[in-house]
Amino acid sequence: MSFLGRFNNLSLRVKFVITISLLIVASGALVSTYLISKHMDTAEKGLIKKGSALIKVLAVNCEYGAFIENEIILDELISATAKTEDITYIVVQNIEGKILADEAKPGIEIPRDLPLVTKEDSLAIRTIAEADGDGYFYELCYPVVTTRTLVSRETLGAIGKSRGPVVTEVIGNVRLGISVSATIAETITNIRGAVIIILLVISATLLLTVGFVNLVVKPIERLVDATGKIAKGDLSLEIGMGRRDEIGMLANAFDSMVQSLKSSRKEIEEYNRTLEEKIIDRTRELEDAQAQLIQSEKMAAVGQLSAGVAHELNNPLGGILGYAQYTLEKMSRKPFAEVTELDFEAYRKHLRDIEAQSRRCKTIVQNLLKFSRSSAKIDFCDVDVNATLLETISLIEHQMVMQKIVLTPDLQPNIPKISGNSGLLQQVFTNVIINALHAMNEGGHLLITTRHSPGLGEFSGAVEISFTDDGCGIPAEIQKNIFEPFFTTKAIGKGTGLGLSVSYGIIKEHGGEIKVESIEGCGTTFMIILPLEKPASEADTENKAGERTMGELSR
Amino acid sequence: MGQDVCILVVDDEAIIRDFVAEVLEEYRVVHAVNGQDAIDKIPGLLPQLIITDIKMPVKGGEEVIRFAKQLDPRIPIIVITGYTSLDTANECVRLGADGFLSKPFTIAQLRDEVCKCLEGNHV
Repeated sequence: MSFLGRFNNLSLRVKFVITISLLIVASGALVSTYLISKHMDTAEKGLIKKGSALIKVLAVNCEYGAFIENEIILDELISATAKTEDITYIVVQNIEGKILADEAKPGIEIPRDLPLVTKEDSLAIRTIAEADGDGYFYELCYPVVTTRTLVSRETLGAIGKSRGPVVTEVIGNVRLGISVSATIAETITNIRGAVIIILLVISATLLLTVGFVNLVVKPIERLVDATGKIAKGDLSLEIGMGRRDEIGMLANAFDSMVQSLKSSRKEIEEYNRTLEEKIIDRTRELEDAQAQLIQSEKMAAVGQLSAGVAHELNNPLGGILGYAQYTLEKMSRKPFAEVTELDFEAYRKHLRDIEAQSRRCKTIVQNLLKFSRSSAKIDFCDVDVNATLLETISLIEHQMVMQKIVLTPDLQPNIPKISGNSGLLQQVFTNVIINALHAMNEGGHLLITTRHSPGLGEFSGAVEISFTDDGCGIPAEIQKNIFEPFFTTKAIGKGTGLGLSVSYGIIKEHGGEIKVESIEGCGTTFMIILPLEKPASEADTENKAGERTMGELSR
Repeated sequence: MGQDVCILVVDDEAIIRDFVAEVLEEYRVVHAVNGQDAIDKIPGLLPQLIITDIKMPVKGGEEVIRFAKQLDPRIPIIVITGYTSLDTANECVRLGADGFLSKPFTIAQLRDEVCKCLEGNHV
């Protein structure tokens, strides 16, 4: 991993401290280096300046002593000066290099055999390495000059310039050793002080930085922690730092965000609750509406059956009324004492007829009631399709007779029972048969067949019911629409347009299929396939979505 | 009158035929179980009165009326039907029916209609 990558992985706190420390150390080092070099430079220049002044004075003062090469005079002159700080030695030499006087600080070895300055007023500055160490010192060398007038015989006794030319002559050198070690020592002391100060500043800065970082990072860490908790759904916490700076503002903003989240969540929960209630209410309303729809469609079918049923009822009623009146009339005509065994037998026969016809009425009314009974709750049980078909036929038979429709039932005996609701299936069969009757206004044939198709693999087998009429047929272009709600080709008042759509829903609810094949002008076959057992997937779907039952029925 | 008068009762309901026959026991009552049966019997029988239902399998009452009236327009015909609407009655009259009884009818109504028709007091 690169340095930058590693650095990025460090915590904010460490990054901040490292950056600030590096900045302080770098700037401290830069400033110190600059100041120290500047200090050294200035100090050395000062030393040389001081030494220059001193050596020039010494050179002038030594003129006489050097001229006469008097050691005592020279020693006296230099001994006082040699005591000056920074001066390590003073040497006075004649122009041949002979040392006339010297004075050195204890332990200082005066360098020998150095070249002399022979030119007047010329200051030589030399840097000489110390013999016993890494240090160095400066040596200043300045000529000692003397002036004399060249008196000739002609000018002897003259005064001033006229006596003769004045010549300046170098008669020796003064050499001055200047130590810089004191300056270096002083500089080192200064550097130490500066380093201590820098270290102190760095420590103080680090402490302050850590404190500052903590001041910033700790609240951020708390915010991060709080964010994690909120992400897990805990909205109960409150940061509340009570600070007025930006971090405090952030914390307050965070707290108000949590409050908003809390109230939003509460609102959402409230919405969810009301939504669920609404869904339950709507589902119930929908179920009621769909139950009403099925019932209305059933009632519409009852309405269409009513003429046939009335006629069918009127026949036995005619018998009942007629025989009752007839018997009463006979009985009133003949006194009780004269009633013969034959008469009695006739009465008995008439009463039996009345009883039979009354039972017939009862059956008709019962069938009609059974058919029209509301079945809001759809229970599935074992259904004998043939029996249900025969019940349906009995309701419509008379209507068929009246319409001169010849019914041919071809019901396969002993077909297995299916799982279903006989009331709903009867409604479907009635609807399909009534449609067939409408298609055969001028009479015709209706063939109703039932067949058992055995199971294969997971398929439990099915019962196929077909209704084939030789009526007017359904035009090809509308065959795809006939199962749609409110689609009708019948005149207003003749049909609701819901019969086949409700039938489709009922058959789907049984896990079955309803199909139509029709040729216009030749006839129509409605084929209903009902599985013996409702497929498992259908049942699962129903359990998962309770509305499916009524949803399908509303098709 | 009496047994000389032949009345043809056409109805797919045996109880209605039986009852009419019992009430009109003084006449010779012949049964026909549907329109086709009646049409088959009418030419050989030449009944003085036909009492017929309208809605019947195979052939209905309309065909019976049409056939009888074609054969002899004087044959009186009484229609007995479970349909009690005005439309049905009008339709019967249009076809040439002479009397109309809606089921269930009383003995008196039946006798009254039969007497009217046999006496030539057509509706």
